[in-house]
Amino acid sequence: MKQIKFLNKELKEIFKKELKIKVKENNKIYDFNRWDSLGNFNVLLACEKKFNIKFSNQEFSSISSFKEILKVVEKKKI
Amino acid sequence: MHSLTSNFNLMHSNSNWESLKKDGVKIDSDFDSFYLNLIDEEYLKKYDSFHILVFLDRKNYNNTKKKIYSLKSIFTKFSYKPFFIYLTFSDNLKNKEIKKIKYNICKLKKDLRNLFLEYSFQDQKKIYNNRNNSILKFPFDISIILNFSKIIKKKINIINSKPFKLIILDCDNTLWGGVLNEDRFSDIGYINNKVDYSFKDFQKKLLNLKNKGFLLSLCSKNNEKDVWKFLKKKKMVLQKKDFILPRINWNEKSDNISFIVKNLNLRFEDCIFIDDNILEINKVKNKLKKINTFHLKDLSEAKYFFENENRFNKLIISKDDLKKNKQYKLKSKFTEHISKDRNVTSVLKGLKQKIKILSCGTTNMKRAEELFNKTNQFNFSLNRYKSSDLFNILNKKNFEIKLFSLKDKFGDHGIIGSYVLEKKEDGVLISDFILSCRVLYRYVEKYILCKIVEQNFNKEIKILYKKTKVNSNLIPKFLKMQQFILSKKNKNCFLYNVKFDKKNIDETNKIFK
Repeated sequence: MKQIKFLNKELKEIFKKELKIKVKENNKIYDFNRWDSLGNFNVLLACEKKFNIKFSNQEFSSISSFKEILKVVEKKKI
Repeated sequence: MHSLTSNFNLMHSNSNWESLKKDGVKIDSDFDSFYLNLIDEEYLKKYDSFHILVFLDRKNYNNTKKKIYSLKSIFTKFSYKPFFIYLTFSDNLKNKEIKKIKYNICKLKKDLRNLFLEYSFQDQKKIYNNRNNSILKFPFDISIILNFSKIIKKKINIINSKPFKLIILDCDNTLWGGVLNEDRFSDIGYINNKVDYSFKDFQKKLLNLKNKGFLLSLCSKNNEKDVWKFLKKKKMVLQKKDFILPRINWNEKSDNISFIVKNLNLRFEDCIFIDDNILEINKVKNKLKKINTFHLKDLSEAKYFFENENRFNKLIISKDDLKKNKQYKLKSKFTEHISKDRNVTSVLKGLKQKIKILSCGTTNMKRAEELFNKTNQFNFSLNRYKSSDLFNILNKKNFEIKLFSLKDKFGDHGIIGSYVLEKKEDGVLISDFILSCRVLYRYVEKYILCKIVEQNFNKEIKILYKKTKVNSNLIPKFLKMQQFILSKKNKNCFLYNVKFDKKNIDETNKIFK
């Protein structure tokens, strides 16, 4: 549980750094001007680097919400 | 502002670009639009330099090459703006193919002085990322952006740095190894095949800089005649004719340097003094605080210094740069000439000076930009206009930018000044007025103002002077001498009324007949 909380916080940091937005758990792509498709990719790329994971091609092109990202990162990390 | 564009998706909003954005680089948000951008003249006028990242693979090579080649006319037309092409290659290309591509693109560069090719990524095949290429059309790992930024940043630093104007050199242990008249002739080091950087290479580098428009001078404690004889006897790369106002004597070096710099009307900030003796350097630095110095401890350091000091780097060499050495020699001749005769106007008449006033356009834009950015002492407003700003002003209806060139019996000085006029309802404002210091005190400045007065007869003419540290010496003297009346003052901004009576104008015109 602790680890999930930690990932949640780190992910929010990534959104802040990449898109300069304060994201909430239920947000998804296009909720913010800056979170467009390119912004989404930038977040995913930053996640790969930060958590040292690799998204599959399928994941890379379909993940589009905060919850989805968290779920996939969690699955790969824990 | 600088432009970064490419033939792939630059992921413009990625946070790794942040540092470049802070340096004023606009990162293209369109995909593969470098060609469309660069054929658009408005786009070209907007930016000061252009950086093009190109990714080549087997599929896009022919097409991209065609596009780059067809940009040649653009590169030629905008010859005063630097274009950088950074080539990267896909890992599906063989080394042989890459070589061929490089060869083909290098051919394009041949007579373009403003086009620069970079292939710093050639061996890093690891950077290619297949997934990013197919999904994002960004063919690398995202971290490569930091590498790109670093390399582009270096170029921008060079663009933003002001090259030195004058290099003042010591002789013993600087131009050659050893001390003249103390060491035996054969012991003095010059060519040395054992080391990879000898005094000969050092001199070659200096000659190279001279050919790019840097001025060379000497300041050395020696017997002058011996030095010239020695250079000749050893058949050194640098000879007497390469140096301007050399001061070889036993006086204090700071006095000599001061003499050289003042006689060329330069500022100490734009000069560098190179000596092997730290004591001499400290002494000079102590007296002339603003001068740049380099302590030549050993030659290999000098090589490194030349490569890494941006102020030795001149990206685009203008036609005026090539003439600069001659022009400053003219200036030193003029100084000698005038010091012999007290009656200044008669001397000036004898010079047969001729001034031409030119419109500012694409052909002389590089020189105009240079004048606005390099001139300090006789620069009324110190507006550092880039060519994009100048184009903007030219497009405004009631503004006028003029340049002027000077010829005299010693030779052609080239374009030496500029002014900007703003025509208002109630009169004319000279918002910028610049004259290169090497032609000051020849009534050129007065002649130009007279011409403006003549052309705007019956109108009220004002000139704006923004006082700062760098232009507070010569201009107030000039304004006082002309007896212009101050009409408005706001902090460091002064507005003066420009007025000449008829007699005054006629007398000035006579000098230039």
